[in-house]
Amino acid sequence: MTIQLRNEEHPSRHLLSRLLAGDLDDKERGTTEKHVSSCSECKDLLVRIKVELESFHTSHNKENFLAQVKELAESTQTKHLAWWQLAWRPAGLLAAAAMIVALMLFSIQHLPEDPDTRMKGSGIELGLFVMEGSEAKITDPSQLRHPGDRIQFHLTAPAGGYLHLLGIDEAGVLSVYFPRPGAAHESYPGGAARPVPGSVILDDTLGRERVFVLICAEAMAPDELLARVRSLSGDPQQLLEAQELDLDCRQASVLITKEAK
Amino acid sequence: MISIRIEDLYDRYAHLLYRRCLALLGNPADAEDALQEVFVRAMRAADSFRGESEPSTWLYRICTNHCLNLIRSSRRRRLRQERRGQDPNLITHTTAEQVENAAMIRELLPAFDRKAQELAIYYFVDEMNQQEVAEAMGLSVPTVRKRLKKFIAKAQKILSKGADFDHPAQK
Repeated sequence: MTIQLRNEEHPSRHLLSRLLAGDLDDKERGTTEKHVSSCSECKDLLVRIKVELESFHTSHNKENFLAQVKELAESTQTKHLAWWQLAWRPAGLLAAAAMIVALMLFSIQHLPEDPDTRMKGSGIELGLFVMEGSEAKITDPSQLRHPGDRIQFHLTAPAGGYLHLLGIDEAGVLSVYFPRPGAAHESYPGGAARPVPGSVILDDTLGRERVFVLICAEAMAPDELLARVRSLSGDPQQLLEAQELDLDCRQASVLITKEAK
Repeated sequence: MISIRIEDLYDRYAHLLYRRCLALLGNPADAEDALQEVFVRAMRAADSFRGESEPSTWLYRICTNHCLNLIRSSRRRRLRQERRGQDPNLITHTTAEQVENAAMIRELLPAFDRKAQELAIYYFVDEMNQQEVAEAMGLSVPTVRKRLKKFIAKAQKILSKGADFDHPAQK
């Protein structure tokens, strides 16, 4: 059993790995090499790491790997379906009708308490529907979702404004779900349990995605919204953990977790 | 905006990420898949990387999140591992002790919250020192030490109860 604190008088294994990978600056490299030159224990470890590194590069074809990565990165873009794209189809009409019924039933209930759900401002509540065939099912946002699920948000907001919906996933990818590029961006009236325009088909990026709903005094186009949000933090992962954005809007967020089917 | 070359990331970090994926997921096939997925995600998110954290920190975080999500489906994963078995040829340079520790951490992680999981991965799997963990997680060294002690205390409690921990050598 070696789940215990280590003696830290030697460079860490991680540091030695970075030394071999050429990832240290001159000062770090000098200090580390000086220690290793006079430490047989670290010399041995360095040799083991070197063998491991060479073994990795021998058994992995970098060019093939990167070519596959590039192909996959370009082919796995998020697919969105706007609510009007959904509604013209017969099944979509049924789904919309089912959703309205569900909303009427749901409007007398409270959303489940969820530690990953953050509401800022007075009385904003964000909930989630999952479309299953022609049925719109109210679901707990913290329940695991799967790639390919079609979801739609519903919102209770005591006052209206310009609505914006965006998500950030664990790959750090920001996606604006509303407003859609080039589409009209009318003021949202507020009220109880209204569906947020635009359904979304979840892409195949697994893990968490935080979705923010912002109700602002001014409308922001998708590009402008992305720029504003990116300016808040250089690290997209911080936005994922942020729960709320430093923007002058009333807002709510919910954390969705996607798992493979 | 900072330009990131995916080729450079591969040269510097791929082997470290692979080692971590292998330790966390327990078999080479899943580690290969995870490594590829980490790079796919990194490539898709590269435009939004602004260089305010080290590329390594950013990449490790993508890797941590991805692996932890995979571990969450541990029941299905365990079944697959049992079908595939470990491939000793691909981990010959890892000592028996490292394999044992990795299996132990893998089994312990679900009992901890996300921050503690991340901490344990940096310290026990990547074998960073406390200063490096502090830098990677944006914490102070005393906080890291305190959380590590807390992790170890809870881990020892779990292990001493002999819960349903599966030791690889016992299979």
